[in-house]
Amino acid sequence: MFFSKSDKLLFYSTLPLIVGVLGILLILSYMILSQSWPSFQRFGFAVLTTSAWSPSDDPQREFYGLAAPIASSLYVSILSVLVSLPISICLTLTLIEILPKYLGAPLRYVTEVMGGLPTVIYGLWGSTTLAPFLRDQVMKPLHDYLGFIPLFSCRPLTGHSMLAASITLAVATTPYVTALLIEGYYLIPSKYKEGAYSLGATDYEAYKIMMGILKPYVIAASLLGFSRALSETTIVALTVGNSMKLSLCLFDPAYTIPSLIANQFESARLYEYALPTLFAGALTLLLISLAASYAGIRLVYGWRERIHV
Amino acid sequence: MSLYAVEVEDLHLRIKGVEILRGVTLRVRRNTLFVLMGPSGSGKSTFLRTLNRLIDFVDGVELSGLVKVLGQDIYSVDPYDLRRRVVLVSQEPNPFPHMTIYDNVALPARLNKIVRTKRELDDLVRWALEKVMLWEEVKDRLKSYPHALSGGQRQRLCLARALAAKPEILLLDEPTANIDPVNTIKIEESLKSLRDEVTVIMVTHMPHQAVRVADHVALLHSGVIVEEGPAMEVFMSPKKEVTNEFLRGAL
Repeated sequence: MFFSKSDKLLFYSTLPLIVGVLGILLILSYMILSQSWPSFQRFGFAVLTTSAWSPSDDPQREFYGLAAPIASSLYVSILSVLVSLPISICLTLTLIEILPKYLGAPLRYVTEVMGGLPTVIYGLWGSTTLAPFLRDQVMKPLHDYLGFIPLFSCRPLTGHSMLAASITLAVATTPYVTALLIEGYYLIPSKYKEGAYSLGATDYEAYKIMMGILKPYVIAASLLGFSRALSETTIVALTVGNSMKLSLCLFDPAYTIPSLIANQFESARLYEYALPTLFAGALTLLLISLAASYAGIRLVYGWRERIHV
Repeated sequence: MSLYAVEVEDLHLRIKGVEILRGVTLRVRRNTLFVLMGPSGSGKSTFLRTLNRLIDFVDGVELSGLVKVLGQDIYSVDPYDLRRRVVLVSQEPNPFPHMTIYDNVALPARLNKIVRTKRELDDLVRWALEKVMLWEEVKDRLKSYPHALSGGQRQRLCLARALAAKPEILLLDEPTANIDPVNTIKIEESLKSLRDEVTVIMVTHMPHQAVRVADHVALLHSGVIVEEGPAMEVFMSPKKEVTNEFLRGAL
């Protein structure tokens, strides 16, 4: 197995790190599962399929259901990806292909820096600036004129809503998704672009071919962006309105799992089943997030093998 | 109409200050199979990419001299139109991985709007695949993706794709460099059969290959055309010592 002593040394010195990473994931999963277990024992799977948050000093009268925050988490995250993905695709093409290098390169750094900003900054901007703006300029007109459509049927109040959370999340995740797409675009061997141009393709046709090659990577980046949006806490806690409500209407406030945990964690310690229920939410989040990330990473690996044939 | 497909006069080309071509003068007659030979690093691929202006995508290129393709100065015509008429097949097979075998071959016809009906497109795809002797091998899996093909089949697919563009000049940059002998022979046979339809300019560093296929050859060494002429003449009685050395494999 080993060609030399140094190979062997390298393998055994990195082994604890590999085991450590897997170990942390297993310990985390076990901890969350064991902490959430009392909630599953008490409510069964109803904790995931019903909507309620009724704490009580008498454990027999406590009742919790996470369907609304789970659904809102998915709704807000999917919406944010739907907003950020087309912007990220356009940004990728613009930064790499359309802008001259002396403009594209510095703007790429700016995009990367924006991806590293503390999320609380986006959250504060979303809460104090974007939400009121959306309420007055977008939500109210949409409700007034298109209120018969279920998505716009509820009257906007403070502006803090699933729409505000989705758009703030989209703004925050766009640099991340763009960075992924730029990385993917550069991974495409130049022989394909040369192939397109040598057949007489125009710039537009060549970009279209390159984006076609990138498509599986775009899906993977969306899944990773979705996973990131799903687990985002601060931004959502500051913009989503924090209300235990199951609604399709974009202007309604809601709770996502991370915002529910952030808002209720301290008080949940006072009740027997509230904290285990928050852990049940965290477990659901972990499973969805792991599944999305795993699917995204598998897609990227398969894609890399295909393009490097 | 000019007798020559390509006329190059005193072509100098520098990339980031390094002189790659140093006064190349060359003429290629229409409907011949012209082989540009030369050792690695002599500037063959750069010369080929100059002919259809793919070199424009390389940073820091400075060029002087006259390059006429199909009777027109290449810098007086639309580069995209030029590349539709002068198609290049690279050394490394590059079929588009997200397109099926059929769509890869059909792509240039779709880009250039060569055909009008699905039937015409089917016929063109079949014709191109037959020309490169790939039809029998892929006719039952036209809807599968090229990564399922061998390296040699992928290169023949690229050649078929280039032919489907109905070019007037076909540029081949060492098309058999990375493939097995069986596929090499199939490609060479295809090229011989194309003489009457298209001018082929092929680059190779293998003298044996040039002997097998060329009508006319030239030797490019250190950015200069050392010798050129009808293939048999150059191979049987080279005038320059450098040519002799190259043919003996000593360069």
